[in-house]
Amino acid sequence: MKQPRLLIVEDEPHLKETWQQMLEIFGHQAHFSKNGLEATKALEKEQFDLIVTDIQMPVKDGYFVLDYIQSKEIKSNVWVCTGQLAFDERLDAYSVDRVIFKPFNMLGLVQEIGDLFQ
Amino acid sequence: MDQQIFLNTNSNLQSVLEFSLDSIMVCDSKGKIVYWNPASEKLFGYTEQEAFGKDLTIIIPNEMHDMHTNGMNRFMSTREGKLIGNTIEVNAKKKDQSIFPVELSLFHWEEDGSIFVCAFIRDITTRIKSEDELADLRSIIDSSPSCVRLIDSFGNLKKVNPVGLDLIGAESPEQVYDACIYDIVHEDDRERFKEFNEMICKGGSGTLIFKIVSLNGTERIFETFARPHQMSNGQIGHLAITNDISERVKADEKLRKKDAELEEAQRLSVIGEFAAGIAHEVNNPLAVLIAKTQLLELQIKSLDIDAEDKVKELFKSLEIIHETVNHTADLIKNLKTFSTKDKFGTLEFSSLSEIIDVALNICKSRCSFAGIELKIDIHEKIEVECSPVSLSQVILNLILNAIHAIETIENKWISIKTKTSEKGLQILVTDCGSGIPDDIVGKIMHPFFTTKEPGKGTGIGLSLSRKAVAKMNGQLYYNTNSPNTQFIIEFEKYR
Repeated sequence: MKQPRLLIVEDEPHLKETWQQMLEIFGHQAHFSKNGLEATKALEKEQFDLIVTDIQMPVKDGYFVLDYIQSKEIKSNVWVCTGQLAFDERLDAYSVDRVIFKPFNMLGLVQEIGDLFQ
Repeated sequence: MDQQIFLNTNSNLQSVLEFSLDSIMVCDSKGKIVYWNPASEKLFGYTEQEAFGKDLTIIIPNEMHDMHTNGMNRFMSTREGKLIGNTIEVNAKKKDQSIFPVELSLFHWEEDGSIFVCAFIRDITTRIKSEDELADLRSIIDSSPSCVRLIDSFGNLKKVNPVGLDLIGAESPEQVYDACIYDIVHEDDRERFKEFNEMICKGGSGTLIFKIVSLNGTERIFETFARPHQMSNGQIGHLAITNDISERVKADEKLRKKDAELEEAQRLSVIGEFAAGIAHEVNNPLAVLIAKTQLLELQIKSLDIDAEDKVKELFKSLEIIHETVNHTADLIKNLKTFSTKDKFGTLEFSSLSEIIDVALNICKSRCSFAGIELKIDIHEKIEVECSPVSLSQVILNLILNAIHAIETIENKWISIKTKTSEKGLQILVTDCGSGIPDDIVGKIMHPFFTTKEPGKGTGIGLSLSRKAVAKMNGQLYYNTNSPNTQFIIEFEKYR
């Protein structure tokens, strides 16, 4: 089985830690960034199969990451996690594969990641 | 024959004529005045000397001269006339040329081959004026846009104008004259109206708003302004101007309702804004809770534990954590939903027993802890068209309210069952309480109304629930006819 290269952009430390633990159980590894700026720096250096990004973050938010992905024509799968209650129409401007509303079913998501890159 | 001869031959009448208050004059067959009494002088302004020998036309308005001359000629040749021997009302002319109404009686006699016509004339200016005024007044009252009526101290109707007849639904005055008006006053207001009437008939005045049931059965709301009025029999009656204010009252009520709805919408929108504001703060920790719970489940599974029962218990606890977190997340989502029209989720036929199970899973332990018996009787195949998350929240909310309300009662129970009627499916949520006190039952659906201690309830549960059910095309209401405290959720679409 090919190991998917994952980038998780999440500022909440507990949530980041839980992603890490959950992915580990299923044998995945991920690169973690805690804001939009860190994420774009990682994207400069590396290619990822899947980018999971939060929207509201300090320093630079998720839209900063989405702008970067769009401008560099990065072809990764992009999932957006948002703590907002309703769909933000700003997302319509980007090619996003999936919008996930918090709180989400992390176990389900990790299993899907496994299925996606089998 | 000159005047002297006429008077001499009729000497015994002279003093009567001179003292008469009515104007009396005599003219000969040519229409010349041969007698003119003092009252005539006073009435017309011509002295006896001025009038004597003049044509009678001096006291007849110009436009009637021809008529007079023709009439005179006809009478002199045929002895037949329309006026002679009758009393008529006609206009006359004074010396100053002013015209005024008179009552005129004419008679004639023949003497020595000559014909004499005598006229008795009475000024009726004052009478006509007061008659005109009375007619004016009558027509003003009759065409008044308000009901004008007079009733006696026993409530018997003495006078009423056409508008009044119309308002009480009567076809003719005879139908209602002397009938007791108390009978058509709505029973709720009858005593008040009686007291008011008695007060007016004792000399008071005032305003009263009361309901009537008209003769054709329609209910109307009247506003009346009343004063005492001395009737022709000397008794004091109750004279009133009354207006039908039913439409105004209805419009006012509508406006008040609209205001209240607007206010509620504003309050809810504040809640919505608040929910959106805290959503991010709450959803992140909730996401952690859910994921950690899932992680714990996985970790427990990977451990090599023999005690199967213990593990089951652990899983059960985790499941409850999971559901509670989901419930909290949904609550925040729904708070936002309630304040905006869209993003409610589609309606689908969903299993009612599953929906109720979701609610029960969250509150079951609380019920058993409080010693409450849950009586659930739901056919497992029933499906209602609803948003299942919302409906289970509504039911959960009703159960939580019930748990709180029956805290101090012994032998506590809460029951949930269904009933079908021609209106649809009713979900009855009943508790052992004996109903909601009358003084607060009108307020329970209002946002922020709560009977709970500060910090224990937000007062938005029922208000939000009712909105949520309305969005699912259903109805949530309190059943005032039940001996126990009972809320009914009604859905038209079920199967």
